[in-house]
Amino acid sequence: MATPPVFSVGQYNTAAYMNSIGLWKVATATMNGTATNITNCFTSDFLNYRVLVNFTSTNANQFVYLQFSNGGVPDATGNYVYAVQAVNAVGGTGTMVSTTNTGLILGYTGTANGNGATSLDIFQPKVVGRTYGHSQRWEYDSANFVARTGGFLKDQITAFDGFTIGIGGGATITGTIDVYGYR
Amino acid sequence: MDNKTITSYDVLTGEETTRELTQDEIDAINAMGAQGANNDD
Repeated sequence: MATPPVFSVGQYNTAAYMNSIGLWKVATATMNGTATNITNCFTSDFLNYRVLVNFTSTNANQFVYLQFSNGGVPDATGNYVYAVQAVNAVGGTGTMVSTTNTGLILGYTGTANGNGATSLDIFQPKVVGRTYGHSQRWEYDSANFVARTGGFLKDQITAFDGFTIGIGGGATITGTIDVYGYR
Repeated sequence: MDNKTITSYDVLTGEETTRELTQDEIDAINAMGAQGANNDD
């Protein structure tokens, strides 16, 4: 019998094999509006999570954000702390920082090239305590291609069961969100 | 309905709900954006 992860056609996969899978898809959602919430994607099954967001199109040059949530209610307490460095494709650099914001700003969209992508690792969001993580975003905003890399902290002793991703200005964004749990 | 909406997916129940955001909710989101510095380009 082949040894995972090299499976053979028709092979019987034992519980031990399945339980050794390191990254498990727990949720997928389609974005088509101002905001999208995923509830109960953070559970006691996994400690840490990877979130991949593909932004397909938008109707405005606007910021995109994340808020943690419980029961579908986004947490807008002003203790999202983040430090993000940015560099664009023509050499411009900058920072995106806050210690008191009501959400985590991921980056910006552009109508001309509205596609962008975000990857987040979120550590122990379902454990009562502070939630740390890091984010990477690649986008073509209103002027240039920009790459952003940073870290964040939800400076609050709380457990969360989900999150909301949305866009500012009452604009609309389309795309997909995939959530994976690290075993 | 315009697209100023929030859609919620519940992983446990499979339920999907969509509602329009209130102007207060949109204003709160915009206030969040005002705090995010964007001086990269």
